[in-house]
Amino acid sequence: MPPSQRFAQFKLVLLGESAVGKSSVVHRFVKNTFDNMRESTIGAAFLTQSVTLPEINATVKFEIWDTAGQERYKSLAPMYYRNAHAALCVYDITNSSSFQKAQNWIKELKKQASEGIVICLVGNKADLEDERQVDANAVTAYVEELSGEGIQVFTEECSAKSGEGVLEIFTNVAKALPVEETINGASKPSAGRQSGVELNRRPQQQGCC
Amino acid sequence: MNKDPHKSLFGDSIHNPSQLNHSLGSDVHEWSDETIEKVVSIRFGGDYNLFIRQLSRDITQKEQDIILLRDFYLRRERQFYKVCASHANLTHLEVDKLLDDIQQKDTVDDVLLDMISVAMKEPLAPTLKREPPTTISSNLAQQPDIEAHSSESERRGWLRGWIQSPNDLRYEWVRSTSSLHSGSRTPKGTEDAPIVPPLELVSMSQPGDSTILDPEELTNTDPYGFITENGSENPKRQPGDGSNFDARSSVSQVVNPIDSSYATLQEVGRRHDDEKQAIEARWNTFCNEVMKLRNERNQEETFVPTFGLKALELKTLDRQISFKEDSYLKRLQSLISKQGIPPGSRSKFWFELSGASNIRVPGEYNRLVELAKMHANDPSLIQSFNQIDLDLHRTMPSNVYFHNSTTSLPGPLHHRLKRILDAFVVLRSDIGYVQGMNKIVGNLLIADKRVTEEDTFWLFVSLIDEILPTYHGESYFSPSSLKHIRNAQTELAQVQFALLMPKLYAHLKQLDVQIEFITMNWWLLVFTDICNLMELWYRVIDNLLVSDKSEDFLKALSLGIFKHYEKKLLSLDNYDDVYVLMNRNATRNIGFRELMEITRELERKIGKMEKDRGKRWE
Repeated sequence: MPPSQRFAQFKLVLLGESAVGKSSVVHRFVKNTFDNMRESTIGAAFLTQSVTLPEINATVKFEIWDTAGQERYKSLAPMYYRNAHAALCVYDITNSSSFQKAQNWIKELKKQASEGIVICLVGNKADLEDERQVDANAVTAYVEELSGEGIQVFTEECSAKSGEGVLEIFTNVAKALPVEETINGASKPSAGRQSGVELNRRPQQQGCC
Repeated sequence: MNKDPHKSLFGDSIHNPSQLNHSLGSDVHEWSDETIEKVVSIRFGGDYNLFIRQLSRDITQKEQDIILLRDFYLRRERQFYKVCASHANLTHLEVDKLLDDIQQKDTVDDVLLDMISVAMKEPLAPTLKREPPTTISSNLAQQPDIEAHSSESERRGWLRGWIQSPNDLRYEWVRSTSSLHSGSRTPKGTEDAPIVPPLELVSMSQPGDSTILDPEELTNTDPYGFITENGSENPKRQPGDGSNFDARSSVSQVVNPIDSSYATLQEVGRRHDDEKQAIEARWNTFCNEVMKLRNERNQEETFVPTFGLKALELKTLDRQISFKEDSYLKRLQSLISKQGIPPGSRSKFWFELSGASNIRVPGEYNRLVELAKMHANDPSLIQSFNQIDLDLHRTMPSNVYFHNSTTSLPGPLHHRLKRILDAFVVLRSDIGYVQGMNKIVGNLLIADKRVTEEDTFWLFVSLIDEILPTYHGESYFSPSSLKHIRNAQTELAQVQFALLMPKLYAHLKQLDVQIEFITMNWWLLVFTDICNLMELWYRVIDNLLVSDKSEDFLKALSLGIFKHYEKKLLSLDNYDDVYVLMNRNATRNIGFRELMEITRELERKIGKMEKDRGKRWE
């Protein structure tokens, strides 16, 4: 079976403090571009992009909801992370308060989002190593602490500016998603696209992890 | 090096014309070392010699200006002595004696403070400092020689020459204060004379004709300052296709007369001009009628100096007129929905229709700006200030007024945007800064650069306080309003959409599209993002200002955009494509008039639905 026919679609949401680079990470992934002067996101922006997983001969399409970072819009986030299969909680490695905010998002997702949501803690702006405020050890310690509470979160650093690490994040998220289950579980996998729509229409029925 | 030293007054032939043509401004001595290094590296390619040359050139320029001014005032003074001699029979010595009190001021600050205090007492201006010493007037009265010119008006006539009228004083004040507060970045007196009521459509000049930027920076931009080089990437860069105001420019771009369609296009252009004139005439008739009515009223009642909150007091005027069909408000709504407010008069109308002219307190804006500076670290405001700073360089990065792409420095409107947003945070600390405000103020700033920063501020305040929907008395951007805006989206999607466009609704529901995801963005940004052709957004504001109920208008506009894409949307078979289509670029090819007419029709229907629902509840 050609890879394009083994297809699954998942909803992914980006959360994080204002100006940590959520939109830049998305645009690096979707369009492979970087713009120093990106306009701020308000409400949420919608984009799609696919990654291929050659090991299991499948294509994963992400529908990405890139949300606004300002505290004022926090109460809108549930609208977008409801039924999401994956979330990137993004912080800026040069800004320790943004790391705190990302932790708060993880807490909220664990409480409010669908069970089994795949969460990736993303440290952006890795190219600004000189200005680093968030120590990699602190991140590891935090993830281990979460693990002790039974919460699995994986963590990555990237630079939307240089492009380093961005694709890896999405590939790793895709690998952590229940791709096989979705492909096999979908009623008729004949038309890949429709199986994606099916998936979204009844996301509660998709057993995750 | 200098081959022709006699060429200019100071022999300062330009060393490198391409780089030595921008004044550095008068605050170089206050720049940080870092700024100087940055400027030298960016603007002068790291060459300090060029930087020094530019500084020297700036000084020379100022010296030239002073010589010209000195000459001008010297000639005026000579003429003044002559006039005094011939009209008042005063000798040179006598005049000197009378003027003895006038001394040179010690510091520039004294001069500026004086100007401000004069302006504060502005309505009394003619009796203030500028008036000649009373002795002169009494002398005049006693002089038999001037009997020939004795009538009061004639005397005023020649006095007027050196007594500034109140308007002149005010103009000067606006300019001097603006140079105090605008960080002296903007060259020349770009802040214009005070707004006068919108009585005539005399000036039809397009926005963009201001002196705020050097002209060469504007060559690659549209009238609103968006860079036009790579046309198709950003829809803002394309002229609005559906607008009749743009039709002529497209006609003039046709250069091939052999093309048979040229004549047709010319004809279209002519018709368009005729239509434009007819519309202008209708506007003029309307304005004159309203003014006449108001003047009659004002003679009867106590004079109200304001032109009126919302629709030129038209709602009140309408109450006095029995025949409803010809109601003034309806006429204005119809004029606006058909053609929009003529661009040349738009800012004046906005100022009146929004109520900004009523809530504006002269001088208050500058006080707020100062307060914002003083309270920059106030714990209750700092979050807003920080967010503003984060968003400033992310506001219209493709517009030269906000971001100079050649120098990578902020454009002139960048600083205005900051001051307006900061001042708003101080004025309405209960609301603070909300992302999206930057886009609204940004759009208002580029609408008409002749409007002062202060007036733009009040326009923004009144948009928020008076025009946009309020929820339980809280304004649109209040923290508590967010959930109501969200509820409005749900209602819009589930009720009005379903009832007014059932076929499209069923289709989108079948695709599992969540309509409120799409409209929420539009509402939070007050349509700046989706209506990202400037002229279209301005038309939206025109119509919003005269809408009967602004929430209904926003709902109608949301549905109107969907209606416009009905055919296309019905052909899509998955929700991804719907979200992508309705995201940002949706209005790229929209016809303004068409959209506004659909919107107005939908607004009427929504209004009726609301009324019926109200009845049912009773």
